[in-house]
Amino acid sequence: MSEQYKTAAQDLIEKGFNQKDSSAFEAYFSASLKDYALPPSVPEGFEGRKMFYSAMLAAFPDMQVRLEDVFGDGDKLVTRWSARGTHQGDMMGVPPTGKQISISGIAIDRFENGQSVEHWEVFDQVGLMQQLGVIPS
Amino acid sequence: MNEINKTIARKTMEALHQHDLDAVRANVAPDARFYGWAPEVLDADGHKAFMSALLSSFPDSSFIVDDVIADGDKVAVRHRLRGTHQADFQGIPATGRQVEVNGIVIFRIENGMVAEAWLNADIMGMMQQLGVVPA
Repeated sequence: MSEQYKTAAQDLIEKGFNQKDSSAFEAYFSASLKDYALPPSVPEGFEGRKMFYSAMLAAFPDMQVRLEDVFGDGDKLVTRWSARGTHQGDMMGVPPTGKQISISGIAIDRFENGQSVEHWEVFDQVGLMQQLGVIPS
Repeated sequence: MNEINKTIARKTMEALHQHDLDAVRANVAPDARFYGWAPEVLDADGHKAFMSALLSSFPDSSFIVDDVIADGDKVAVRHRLRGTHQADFQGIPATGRQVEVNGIVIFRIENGMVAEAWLNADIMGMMQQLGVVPA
């Protein structure tokens, strides 16, 4: 099972993020997704995660994500990722700064029927805000 | 192998929970590297110093393990730090506020010890809970 999920994660990153093919996003996340990592400003679940994904691609149109590590056990998959991009669009209320950012995160997904139905994630949001100049370093 | 490595990971988290940094250190390889605690990579001494400072700032810290996922030489631990901000933390004077901070750490286990670790912690959430950053 793990190999199937690893491939799904690779597709999400390569096609969904790096090639901006949102069908890869829809393939990865279930419509019944429970997402524990969304900000209060977006809807819950799949809709919110989709909005967050679209917002990130709009804010950093040249974003490239790298899968640094991926492993799993049973129905759970762990992905450690890094991302780079240039802040060219509005992001969470911050107007474009033109700055280049580099961040990292770790996500955990629980799969049912080949899709993520539960998503946990922590990423370097403070680092992101510092690089954009919103928070002092 | 997964079960052995899960046990090592759980032992490390339990030692943190008990504030026993010597016990943590005993599970850490001498040339271990820690990514994500500080802007720079920390070695075993640096990690111990960082955790010591954190425990000074939040002396009643609890480390709560929510999930452990092991595969090969890697173990991920989804966890929470709960504590009260009772002393200066990275330049932020004591606020007396309680925080609950989500984190995911990945350990790479080699020869029964932590050889590498990567951490992502919700520091933004912590800052919001401390009142330093608007929520």
